[in-house]
Amino acid sequence: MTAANPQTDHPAAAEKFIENAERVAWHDKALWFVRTKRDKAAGTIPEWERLRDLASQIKLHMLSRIDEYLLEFERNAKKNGIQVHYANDGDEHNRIVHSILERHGVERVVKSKSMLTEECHLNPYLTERGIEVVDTDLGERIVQFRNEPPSHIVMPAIHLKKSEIGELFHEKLGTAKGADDPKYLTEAARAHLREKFLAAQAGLTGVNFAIAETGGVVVCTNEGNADLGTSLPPVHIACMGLEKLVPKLEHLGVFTRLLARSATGQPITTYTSHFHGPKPGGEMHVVIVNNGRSEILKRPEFRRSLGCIRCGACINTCPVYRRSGGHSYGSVIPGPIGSVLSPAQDLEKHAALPFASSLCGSCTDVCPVKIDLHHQMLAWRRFIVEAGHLPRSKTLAMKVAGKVLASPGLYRAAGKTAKLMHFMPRFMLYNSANKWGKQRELPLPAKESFREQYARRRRQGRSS
Amino acid sequence: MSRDKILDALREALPEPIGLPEIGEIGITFEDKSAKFSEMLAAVGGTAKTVSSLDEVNRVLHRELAEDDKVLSYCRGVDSRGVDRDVDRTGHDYHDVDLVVLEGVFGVAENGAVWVPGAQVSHPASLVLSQHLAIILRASELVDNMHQAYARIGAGDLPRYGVFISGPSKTADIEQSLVIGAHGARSLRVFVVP
Repeated sequence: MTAANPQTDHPAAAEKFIENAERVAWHDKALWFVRTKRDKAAGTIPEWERLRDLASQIKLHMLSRIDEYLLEFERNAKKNGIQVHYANDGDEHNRIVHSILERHGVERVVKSKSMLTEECHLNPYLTERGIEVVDTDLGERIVQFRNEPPSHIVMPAIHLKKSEIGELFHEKLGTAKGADDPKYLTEAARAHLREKFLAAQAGLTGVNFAIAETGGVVVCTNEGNADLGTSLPPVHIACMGLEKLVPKLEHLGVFTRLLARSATGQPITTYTSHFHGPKPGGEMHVVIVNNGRSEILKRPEFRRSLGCIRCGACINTCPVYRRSGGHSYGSVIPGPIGSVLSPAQDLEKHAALPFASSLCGSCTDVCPVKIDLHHQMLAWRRFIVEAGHLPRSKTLAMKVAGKVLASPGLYRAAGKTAKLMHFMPRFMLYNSANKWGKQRELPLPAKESFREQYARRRRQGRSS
Repeated sequence: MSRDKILDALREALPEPIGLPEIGEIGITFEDKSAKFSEMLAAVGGTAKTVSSLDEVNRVLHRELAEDDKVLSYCRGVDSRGVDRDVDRTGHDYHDVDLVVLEGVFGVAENGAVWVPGAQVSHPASLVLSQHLAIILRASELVDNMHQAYARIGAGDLPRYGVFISGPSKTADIEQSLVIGAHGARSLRVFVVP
């Protein structure tokens, strides 16, 4: 069990990423650029903060009546001729999708971006059963070729340089050796994926929003891959986490205004596609997945995380993500929102993630649905300690700190000892025991503690 | 059955009821919706051109298209070329169309998007398979923002497929470099007619 499900050691995984200082600087800058585009886009909307409030309240309301809205969605979707399925976990989701494909004798599937199918590990499940699954989002196709997971939920290949993608496409698609012009590489992918679209027998999509009132789903893309993947083959399967519900159509006005602006700074995605039924002669299925979401709903301190609309703004702004890369998280969703959602799925495996944060709160500031991300990471830390899953690197230091901070005598002694740092040679301060000082300079402790200052001033006060 | 199992689990986990907020009067408005629409469409990589008539659209397209370009027009008054629009086709038949011309229902000034219900075309695949897209939009059919847009669509009778299209297909998945023409249309122009 432990071998199959090893604990993610975020610091160790991040260490691999930061070996290449130049890449870290580039990654950091690329993401910060997206963050600034978000700020600019948000700044053009005077009612931005009101939209965030509304989005947050609509999602909290939906969650407080989610059973009713699910049934309303199901009723209306069926009226539209959509077949609705429920899966309690990832495995059941995969079985349902496979059984639909099997019934139609499908061997080739095109898929647009869906973090849910990543979460359920659908691709390997279908591949093992002889079905070719082609991810059609360019970034996802790139990481699929490399046999690795996406490193970002909106920009799946953000960890790669164009030269690496050029090399990959040379090998997989026969592009010219050494060619790394993004336009040229995208053109090659366009031709390659067009063939896949035209040959596909079924199209899989994720869901950005499911509308209870109208029984339809909305899928947002910039490339148009969801529209191609669903309009050509006869079968469309849309997979959604049950928290994707919104009560009414008018709520899309709020969410479509927030999503792309928060994600990339665009005023809206290029294609905002509404599906309210199968195409003539075709079939449309919606698979609604729980996979632990009802457990999150139970817990007041983590409930709000179910409001997430997967824009990635918290990821782009996170100083830890920007400098450690998406793969260091070892979870489908990286960054602050991943550090909040993943421990709910597997506390032991993801115990290190809520610690992969400086708790600066930047994530909470940019979240379009106002999830209190940094508070939730702090809350997880408490749970993780109580459950005995504190990462080994932190246990000893925390124990010592706990003892010292609980005892005034020890605390004073520690303060005196710390002052010795002024006289210590570098090798004594910066060694393998000091993880914090690896890429940082330690601040020198004050020469005089508050306690000493206080005592001295009182003495001086009395004498004067 | 998982359906009931999930519903039971959710009911057990339900928080205290929280009221649904009124959206109320909200949303940025513009003095000149048409100018804002053009500005936003340009910002997302498309172009808007005000023309006096559909004849002018024909003239512009004729001037710019190559001799053997296939044009499929769903707009009465704009000519098709090399494609017979009335032939019953499957989506796959559109793979070699160079330009699709269609009528948009309305445009959204705040983001340059145009609402296109599937019924505007004989097959939705033609919207994304065509190399280029031209949308005819009446100058009077503009709303300020997405709140007005969804109010206008209404929850009563949604098409099986309907899409807001804002600019040409694009990607920035390779080193954040913006490339126009990912899977769908390589260009999008909107002709605004009186």
